[in-house]
Order: sequence, then structure tokens, then C-alpha cells
Amino acid sequence: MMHIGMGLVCGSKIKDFIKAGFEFIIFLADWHSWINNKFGGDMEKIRMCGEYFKHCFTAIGIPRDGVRYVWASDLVGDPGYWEKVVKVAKGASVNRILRALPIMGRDMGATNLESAALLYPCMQVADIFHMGVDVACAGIDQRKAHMLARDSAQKLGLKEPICVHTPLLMGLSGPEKRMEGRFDEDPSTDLRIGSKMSKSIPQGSIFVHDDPETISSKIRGAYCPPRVPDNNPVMEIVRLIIMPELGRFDLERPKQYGGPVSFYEYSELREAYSAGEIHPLDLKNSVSAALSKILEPVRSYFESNPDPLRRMMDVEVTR
Amino acid sequence: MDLEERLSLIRRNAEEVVTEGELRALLETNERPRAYWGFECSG
Repeated sequence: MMHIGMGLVCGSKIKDFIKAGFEFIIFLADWHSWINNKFGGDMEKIRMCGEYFKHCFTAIGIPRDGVRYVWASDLVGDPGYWEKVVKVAKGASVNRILRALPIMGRDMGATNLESAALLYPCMQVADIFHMGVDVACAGIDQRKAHMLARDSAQKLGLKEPICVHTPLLMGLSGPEKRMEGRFDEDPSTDLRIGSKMSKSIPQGSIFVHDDPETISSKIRGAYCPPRVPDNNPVMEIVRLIIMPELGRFDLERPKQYGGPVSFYEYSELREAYSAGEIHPLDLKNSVSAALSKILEPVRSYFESNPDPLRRMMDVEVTR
Repeated sequence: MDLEERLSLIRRNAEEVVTEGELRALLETNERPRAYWGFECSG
């Protein structure tokens, strides 16, 4: 199901692009999902999930006629597409392709991959060329695939895509310490990829259609150390979602601890939190309230349009 | 919307832009450039 990292961090960036006059393509990578064994590689379920994503983005405020939806299935019927895939593959070593693979959520050192995995980055690059995009957007975890696209473009004499990378929203359980160098050579990128909000950990994720009670209960259980604003998922929700969406953050606080206060710059909130002027519980309650407000249109969309979500939930249960 | 407004919208909250110069040049010469974001369909 769609979590707020995808719905609100990616979603609000897509809105920015549309406002700035871009033609925006939301690419539903059904073939890539098949390669990556999503839904056990069941294409019917994969496509149903893509349809559900369209509903989520519409509910979030990206109108159907404001973007173009393209499926990977729409490209693969064209031999010219596969010509690009082969050209990209011929221009890059196996090692280089493997390094572009952590996008699939796999370790850098994995040796037991299905051979089809090698197709994934080559297709990702060919998608960019085949659709003629000027700007490729993604989370920072896809940086290596995009750098491969830029290098391949130079070799093949094609237009180099400009890349815009967004931060990754951290899961509610906070930074996950694990073996270093799993996803990236750079320790801070490695930590962030390993800690990002993931659908497979439901208590660590807030879904776009969660109701206010569910949101509060998840946020109440979130990792939120006092006085520590960095690598703190509750503070990250303010920085990456609430501030951009609402332009302000209203902190509710009992009178004896200073009463309610509004922040218009994240840096001011960060300073106050570091100084211990804000109790984690007050922060959490105010974050829950703001998120519930932002997600209200999504809830009411699916209330009057329950089928796509219900179908998705059925698939989740039988998985 | 003027160029600087368009640029600042795209840059807002972005972790990096590769490259800033190319983005500016694109917006200077193209009123309606094309951008994309690919999503895996996974539950």
C-alpha cells in the first residue's frame, strides 16, 4: 500500500514540477516489478497495484489530466525500446550494472541474484531515453541508476537526463543500524537507504489512507529521542511533509510548558527541539494532527471510491 | 511564472540536482520540458 514517503514526499515534488510548467509522466514500472518478484511476479496483481496508485495520486491532489501515466508494458512492444536496452547493456560492465542494483532493495554484495536482475538497470535507463525525458526524478537511493543513465547517454550520443533526487523518509522506528556498506559505500547514504519507510513494516509506515486514530497510534509508538532532531522520524515528517504542504507547523503545548506556538521555518523548530523546549509527546500529538489534516482528502476520496483500496487490501491479505 | 520561481519550485527540498546549471539552461530554453518518476508497483 502507498505510504506517506511515496504519497507525500514524491507527490508534493510532482506537484512542484507540474506548477513549474513541466509535462509530467508517472511511470508505472510493471515489468520492473515482475523482474523484482513483486506480488510473486503475478502481473495481474502488479497492474492492479498500479491502478490503485493512480487513485492515490489523484486523491492526493494530482489530477488525472495533469499528468501522463505510462506503463512499462506500453514501451516493451517496440523493438526500438529493446535496442536501447541492449545498447545500454553493451556499454556498461556487469560490475557497473550490479552497483546500480540497490534500487531493488537488495544488498550490494548479493551474489545469488536471478540473472533477470541485470536487465533492471538497463531497462530503467532505456525508459528514460525512450520516453525522451529531460528530467528524471527519484529518491536519492536511485542515484546510481541515474548516473548510469547520464554516462550511457554520453556514450550513445543521447540527451543526458538532468536528475532531481529527493530525500528518503525514514521509517517510524528510526535509524536501523546494520552491517555497514550494505546499500552504498557512503555511510550516511547507506544508513538512510537501510532506514527508509518501508511498506513491509506496517507499524513503521503511515499509509496515505490511514485514519486519524491509526496515525496517532503509530506516531505515539515512533522513535523520537528528546533534544535530538536529526535522524528523528517525527521531526523528519515535519521537515519533509508538513512544512512543504502547510507552510507552517502548529505546536500544541500545555500552558505551563509555554502554550501553543507556530513555526514557519524548520530551522526554528529544530533549534527549539534541540534546546529541550519541546517535549516529544507534544511534538508527536501535533504531528499526528497535521498529518491527519493533510490526509483528510485521501480518506474522503476512498470513502466515496472504496473499490480500488478494497481490491488492494484483498491482495495484501492473500499474499 | 518567472524562471527563478520555477527553479526554486524544482529545488525545494531536493537533496540534489544533477546539475543545477543544466536545469537552469533547460528552463531558459524550454517552456514545457518533460519529467518522469518511475514507481515499482508493490504492495
